[in-house]
Amino acid sequence: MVKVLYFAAARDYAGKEFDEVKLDKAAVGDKEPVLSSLLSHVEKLHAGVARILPTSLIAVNGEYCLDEHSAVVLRDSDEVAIIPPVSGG
Amino acid sequence: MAEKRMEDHACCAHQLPPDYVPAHHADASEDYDHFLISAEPLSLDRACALVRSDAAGAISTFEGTTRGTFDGKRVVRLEYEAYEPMAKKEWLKIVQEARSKYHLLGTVMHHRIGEVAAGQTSVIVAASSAHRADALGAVHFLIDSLKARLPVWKKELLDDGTDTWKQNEPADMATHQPAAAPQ
Repeated sequence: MVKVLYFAAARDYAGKEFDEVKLDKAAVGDKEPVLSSLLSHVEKLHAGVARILPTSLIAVNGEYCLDEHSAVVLRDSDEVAIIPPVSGG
Repeated sequence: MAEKRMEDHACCAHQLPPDYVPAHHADASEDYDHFLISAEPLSLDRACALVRSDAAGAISTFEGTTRGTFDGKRVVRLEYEAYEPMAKKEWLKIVQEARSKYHLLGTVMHHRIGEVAAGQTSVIVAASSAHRADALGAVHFLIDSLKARLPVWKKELLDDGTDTWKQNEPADMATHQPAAAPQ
């Protein structure tokens, strides 16, 4: 089970703070579970989140993920966060 | 006359030997680097107290406050939220980068979350150093890095009933060259 966290505009669009996604065939296909597959699944769950994904960054386990999303293999208990453009300060 | 060669120290006009390295900590540590995300009001006095040291010749601070107008409309309040575990990790990276650029003693990064009324303090950054150029430069670097990278968001609520998630302008981090490369 991977936890997907939604912040700021992403949470407003999702209507919830997080989803828990089982890394099964229905969610991420029958190949190795990768971040890009999970994000496609999230887009299907929440059309609004799909709209802001292109301008958002993704964090995996609390660190910005700068690698190609199709090359990031996910494991059970990973925490993935949708990070819309930040506005601290 | 056997006189030891002295060089001008650009930041403070002291005459310093060429091998002089100001007192500093090279590595980030929660012993002297302070991070707080809080729903309570922030205190500049408290931030200064955390970095005060008799090895320091300077404490530099930045206090960010919430503007009361946007686009000619009145801002009722701002609502801040943070992804706290990630913010702490990212803060530690930012502080380590600051320490690779500047000779620093202590640092503070305090951010308010929750509802913040217009005119209140939303963020405080402070740094202490042996000489002022390092503290001044580090505070500028820390606040620009916070605004660019820290996973914190604010929603602005206007008096016409509308609200918007704000978005920081990209900072030109290339302006942050080391004042004096620490050794």
